[in-house]
Amino acid sequence: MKEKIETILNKVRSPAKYTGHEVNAVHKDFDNISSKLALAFPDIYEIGMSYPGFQILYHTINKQADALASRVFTPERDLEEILKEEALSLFCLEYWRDLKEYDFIGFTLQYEMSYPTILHMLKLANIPLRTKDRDDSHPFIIGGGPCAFNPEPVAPFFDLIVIGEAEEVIVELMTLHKEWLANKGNKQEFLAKASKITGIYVPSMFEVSYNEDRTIKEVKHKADLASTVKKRVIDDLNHISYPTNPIIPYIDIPHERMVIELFRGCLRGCRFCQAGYIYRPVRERSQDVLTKQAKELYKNTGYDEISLMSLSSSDYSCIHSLLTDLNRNLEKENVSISLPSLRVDAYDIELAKEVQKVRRTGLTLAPEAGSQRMRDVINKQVSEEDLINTVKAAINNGWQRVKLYFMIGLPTETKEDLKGIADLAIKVANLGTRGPIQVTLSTAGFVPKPHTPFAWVKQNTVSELMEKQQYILSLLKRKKYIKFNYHDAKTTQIEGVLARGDRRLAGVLEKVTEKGAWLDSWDEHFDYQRWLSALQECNIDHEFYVLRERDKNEVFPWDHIDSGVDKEFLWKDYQEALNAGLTLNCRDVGCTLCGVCPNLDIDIKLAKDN
Amino acid sequence: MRYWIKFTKQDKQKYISHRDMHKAVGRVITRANLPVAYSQGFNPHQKISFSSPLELGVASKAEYLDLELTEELSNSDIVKKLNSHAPVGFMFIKAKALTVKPPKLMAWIELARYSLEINNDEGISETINEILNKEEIMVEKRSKRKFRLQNIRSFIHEIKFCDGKLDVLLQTGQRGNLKLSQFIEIFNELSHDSLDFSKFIKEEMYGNNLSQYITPFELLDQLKK
Ligand code: SF4
Repeated sequence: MKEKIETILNKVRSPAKYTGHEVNAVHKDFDNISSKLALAFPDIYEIGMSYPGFQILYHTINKQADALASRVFTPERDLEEILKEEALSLFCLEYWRDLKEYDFIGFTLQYEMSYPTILHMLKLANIPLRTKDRDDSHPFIIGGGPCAFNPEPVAPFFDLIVIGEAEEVIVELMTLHKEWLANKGNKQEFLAKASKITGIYVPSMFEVSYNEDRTIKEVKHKADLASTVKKRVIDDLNHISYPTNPIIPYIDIPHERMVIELFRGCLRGCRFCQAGYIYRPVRERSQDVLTKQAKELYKNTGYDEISLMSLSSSDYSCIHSLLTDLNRNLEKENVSISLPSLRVDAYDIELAKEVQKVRRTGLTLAPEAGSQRMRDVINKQVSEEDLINTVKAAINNGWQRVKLYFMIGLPTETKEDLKGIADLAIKVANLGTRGPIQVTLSTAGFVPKPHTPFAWVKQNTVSELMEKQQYILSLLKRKKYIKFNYHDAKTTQIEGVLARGDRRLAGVLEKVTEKGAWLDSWDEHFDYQRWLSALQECNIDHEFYVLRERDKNEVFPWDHIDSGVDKEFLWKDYQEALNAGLTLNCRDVGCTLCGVCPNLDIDIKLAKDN
Repeated sequence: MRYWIKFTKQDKQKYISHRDMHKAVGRVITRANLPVAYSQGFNPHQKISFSSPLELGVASKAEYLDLELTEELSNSDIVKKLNSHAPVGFMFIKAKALTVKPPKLMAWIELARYSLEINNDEGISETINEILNKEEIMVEKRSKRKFRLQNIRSFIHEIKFCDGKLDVLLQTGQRGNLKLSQFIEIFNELSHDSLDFSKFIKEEMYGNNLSQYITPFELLDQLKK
């Protein structure tokens, strides 16, 4: 196989993506390692390599003496065609071995639209898609990531799925695998043992029954052993390993920079944001640990930018002293600091000023909704005044372009709220001291997500969203300084189907992959008609999944996946939302009883309390 | 202080494009903590430049780079530091401080020598002679979206076969360039065998000084005298 790959790579564009020999890639003695895992990202190399989580797992596994991790992405069309011509299977980067030679293939479940690409990759590896069609000779197909919190549409394809933070689970899984190999057990025995590890979901052990109205009656463990699968959460982030020697791609990727992760979880509780619920509670890394990681990263990578990653980085409780510390340590090395998720308040601009070499090219702000009422509904606690002051401060500090992100199709939305979006954009543009500044206005269609207060909500139809886009567009006529982008409403519709879907959609995913779906999160590859005909051929009415307000007591497909946040809390918060009432963050006002801390026996951890 | 440094690009690193290699070597220099000089201006960049680009997919034992440091370091120190931070496949062989101002590497280098081990040498001398006896070898050359035909016979300086090895010397650089892959295409068309592009390796590069072809380091020695 290796010889063949050598010659093949001379025929493809950008062969450097497939060599597996980048700086800091790990190579072990393949044939003498007991547990081999192929980390699979269902997108192309450039995208997958930009996800820090992917690198964290790679290095966590490779640190184990008896385990190894290799990477695989979906190949570009040119390589795919050659693989088919030469009757070769999909191979992993590091060892140039057939995927079937691995013990595990672990897919990242990062966004719903990547599901067909997962199936596409399994096909390229000549591995049967459904668990029930595989035997003991096949690798275990495993998954994890944010979409694991409703894995049901892909459940029939996976042997097991990791719910929650994977760093510890994956090591336990590798240890278990080694024992199991020594005892020469069968796959079922392994899965039975694995299912006892907190955070591991074995879909085949659960049975789903349905009501006549097509809603779910019950999701039940076949042997009545457990009714739910609790998410895994790491108590103290200071104690887990974090890779300060990330792989450095040779080719250009969207984010070429060092990344440190300040904390997990988010205090804000924006009601549309799934990450804000599934990663609770907030746990911060200590400042010392972060500074140490930053220094090591610089030594090992030579990158000239460091990104302080988190859901809302400026909420880090010691942000000022952390920035001072980082500046002191990295300034002379020409390293610039970037704060990705800037909030919409002047406080953040002050922060940004502190970061001396912050890039001043464009300021990105996400008010998410155009009117105060709408922002209250989604619990986005910023006022118009905040936004205006932020932009003013930014302009005073040299920024010249502003990007604004909004959602349309939010619950209770009216024309007034939409008009608010256009008005706000115009207002912001006119804050320029010498004529209007450039504003890029982007809207995305709202997709209700599992485990959020909006999980019950009826999504907008394609035509509703398109009308709303047109309406905003009409309000921006002749405003040349505003560039208006909007997400394709059809993608939003399908994303919605998959986000709150159930196991009955697995067949649709097979069909649509058969019809050629691949990289569907890319506009140029997405084909709505293909999805509609796949749905139709499977006799599935997609409106059932998206265009329906759910009953308070409806059993959701993901109810057996326990994020720790109580369903009653989410329902109450939804009712609060409908009245435009706020739920304040629990660091400032004390526990608001979401349930995570007692349910998972864990506490909020702030760096300042260290 | 400026240095010329010779390095190899072998194994899987041959799949890295010239541009990406530039970036990668820049990062090796950063990680090795060498006191590299930066250009002035709004967007400062490291002062390094390379010999003419190596074709993607070809391994090389002789690539050159020109590096400027803000302090003087010993030649061996530079090599040692670079090697301790270089990924497998990149090896820094030798560094030489520039005592006089040499020409630009990119402009000076004119020839590249490649070698290839051959399993089947049947009829190989005939093929070599056939090529060398031609007066005209036309290939399509692309320039600004237009194709034109070009006689590249004079770009093939030598083809030799000895000890089971094929040894070719081709024109490279700004004053005419014949890619190894183009040469192989020409060769394979006339021969019984088919040469495997991926098994070639670049052995050395040469430029002209006092009407003699010499290596970059030989040039530095001559300039000193
Ligand atoms: S349980 Fe209370 S303290 Fe813990 S995250 Fe939820 S609201 Fe905050």
